[in-house]
Amino acid sequence: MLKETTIPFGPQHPVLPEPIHVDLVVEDEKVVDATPAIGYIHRGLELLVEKKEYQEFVYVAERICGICSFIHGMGYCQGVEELMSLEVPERALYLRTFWSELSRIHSHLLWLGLAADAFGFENLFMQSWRVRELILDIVEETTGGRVIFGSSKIGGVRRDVDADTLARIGGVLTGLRREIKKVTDVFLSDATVNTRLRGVGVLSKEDAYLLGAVGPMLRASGHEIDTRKIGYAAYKNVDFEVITAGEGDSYARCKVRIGEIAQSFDIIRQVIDKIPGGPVEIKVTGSPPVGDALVRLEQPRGEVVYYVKSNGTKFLDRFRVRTPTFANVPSMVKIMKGASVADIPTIILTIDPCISCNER
Amino acid sequence: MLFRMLGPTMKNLMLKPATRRYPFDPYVPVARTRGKIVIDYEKCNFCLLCDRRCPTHAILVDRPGKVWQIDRLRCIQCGRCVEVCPKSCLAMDTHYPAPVVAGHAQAAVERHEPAAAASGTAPAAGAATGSAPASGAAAPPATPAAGPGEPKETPGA
Repeated sequence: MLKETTIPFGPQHPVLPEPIHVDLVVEDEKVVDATPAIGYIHRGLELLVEKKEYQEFVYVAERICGICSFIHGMGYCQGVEELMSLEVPERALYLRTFWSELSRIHSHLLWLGLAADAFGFENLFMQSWRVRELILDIVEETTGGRVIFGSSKIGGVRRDVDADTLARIGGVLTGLRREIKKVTDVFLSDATVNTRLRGVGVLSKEDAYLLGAVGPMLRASGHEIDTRKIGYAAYKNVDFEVITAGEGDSYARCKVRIGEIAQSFDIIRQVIDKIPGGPVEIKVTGSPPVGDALVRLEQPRGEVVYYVKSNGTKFLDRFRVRTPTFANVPSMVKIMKGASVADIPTIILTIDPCISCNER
Repeated sequence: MLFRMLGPTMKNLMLKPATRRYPFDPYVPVARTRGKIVIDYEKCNFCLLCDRRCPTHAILVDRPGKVWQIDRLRCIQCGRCVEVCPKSCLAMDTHYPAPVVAGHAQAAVERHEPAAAASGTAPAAGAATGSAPASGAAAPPATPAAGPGEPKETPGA
């Protein structure tokens, strides 16, 4: 009879970019149970909504996380716009889509690098982050920041990108896409990557749905669910197919994310082609009326839900975020059971945990 | 398939570094880079809008003393003050603020005040806004004042 031992994994662990804490109950090398603990880096950002006026809170909302930053700001803005029944100009919606997809590309490239780092392929990690840097350069050129875009505001966007710049960026992205494909091809066909990812952390189609998985985690288990399909911002005007994979293992999740990188390039291409002219913001005055609003968006990590509640003053009553990482934690615990300890880093990484978002 | 990474790796050996050789090859910001907030002090009418709108309370404006002050370490370069400024005297510079050594956070506070106040009554103006150096300067005179209180307490105890 093997003796059970409890090993604390994290909050500080070489493989983790952010502090997540899981207590692993192991029998020999096999994990039999896992208990996640959430709240290590809680900062209370949601409460700040009572202290900052609704127009200034967008800066706080954007700083919930350094990777999903733009979509957090955009989700908060959409919530308040829904409360105030504001009609956002079309051009602003297209620009929001443009920046959302740029942030998706850089988030997925960041994840590819971290995953390569987790299974010990440092060279691949370096190459993934090198191409990510080129995306960040485009972000800096269009928004002025590399991590915090600071471009979403209530009633539109803060900065316009002129047609010449957009056309030039379109050309740059075409070249970048080839560059990125060279790196992602390695993920899909290299023997080392295959050995570490195939068959590791299999989440069945039923479990993925029952445990409420979201994003690439859900799509890698064969569900065709993508919040972008509800058509917020300019997604109603662009064509794209939801990328899915059937296997449900770590390799499938990697494959879905790589597919989404290519898809984001397609969406950006369509946005650049279809973007209409006109203003990028409308003037917003007064306070939001009493009421509440719920907004669902697709983060790189999956579906995110924002809830805003107003009491009729300049200070909102409540702002709440249900982050994709939080929704994916039950699935993570599920696939950890039965895995070997050596695979735990890969499993944690394949849900693409974003602890800053998760614990706000 | 086994050595899929070999090609890119060999090619990588021939390429020059992907990163900038920083001190020799200086960083060139793009036109939109959010570096730091700069003020055209002569144009400012001390309307306090930037002070009120600043999400991190980095800007302090004293209307009677005509003082405009920014704490570079608090500022998050969001550009809200530039947006709301009615006189367009605030602008976003593309260069980042100068680095500050730990323990000298006060060096990051940039203060603009009337020339006369700066030369003559600088400590008084500092005390009015309650900035850190002013309270530090006020501490030594306060100690003798507290001194007489101590002997009184000692007999009581």
